[in-house]
Amino acid sequence: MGGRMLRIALGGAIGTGLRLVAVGAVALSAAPLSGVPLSATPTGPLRLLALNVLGALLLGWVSVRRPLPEAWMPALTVGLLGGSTTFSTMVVQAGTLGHDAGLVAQGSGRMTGAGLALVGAYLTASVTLGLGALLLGRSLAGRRAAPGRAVTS
Amino acid sequence: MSVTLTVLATLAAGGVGAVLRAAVVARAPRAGTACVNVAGTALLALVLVALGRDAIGTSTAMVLAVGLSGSLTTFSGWMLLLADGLQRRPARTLLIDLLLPLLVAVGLTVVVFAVVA
Repeated sequence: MGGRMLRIALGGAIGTGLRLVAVGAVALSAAPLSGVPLSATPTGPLRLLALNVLGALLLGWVSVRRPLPEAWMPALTVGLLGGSTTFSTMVVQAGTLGHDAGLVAQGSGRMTGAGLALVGAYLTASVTLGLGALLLGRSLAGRRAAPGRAVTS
Repeated sequence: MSVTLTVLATLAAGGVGAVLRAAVVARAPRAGTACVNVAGTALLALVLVALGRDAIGTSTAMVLAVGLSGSLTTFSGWMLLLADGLQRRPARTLLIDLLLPLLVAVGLTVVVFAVVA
């Protein structure tokens, strides 16, 4: 049990490092608090979206192909892929997009209709593309579409 | 804190977050995933508020936001859960595993920022 957790911790650390390199400290760029519009880091939400979707694609693939010895699979799936992708930053970035829409439109960060639409669009795109990517990953790895064995990690 | 130390601490926090998530999700995959994702989002919002108020420094914020919260929450694990669930119990998965945690997380973030900003 301890060994499994250590391997997951290692995977998580590597995944976090990858995320740090890929999207930087975008988690810290919350405009509602800094007052700085996201245009300072315009590609932040997009890079995060790409990272999350890529992570889902890879998870779909490795969960079928299982390229590592079973003892190391959780390190890869739960640790590395689970750790490199993130839900919290996605939610905050969605909010920041909406906030910036307000800043641009009316000078204040209060949510506008367009801002709300942006929040919804970003989250919808994330979930839709993420699900599609995961299913694509599975399919590329050779899994049939029919429900069957529960491949959980 | 030096940049190197901050990065190392961030990676370590990433390891901790992953282990916490693994333990919670192992006990209860659906509820566990929702819990870590919602809790991690709340943590991130609070960290950002604290940073904005200069209650914590950038290094600490980095470790907690990028390291802990980033790794405690997961997008890919969530997708895996949803993919399996949508095949077997689509309505339940859509409402309880997809929409509910998302709306709660968004709501908490809005509340935290509104109360403070």
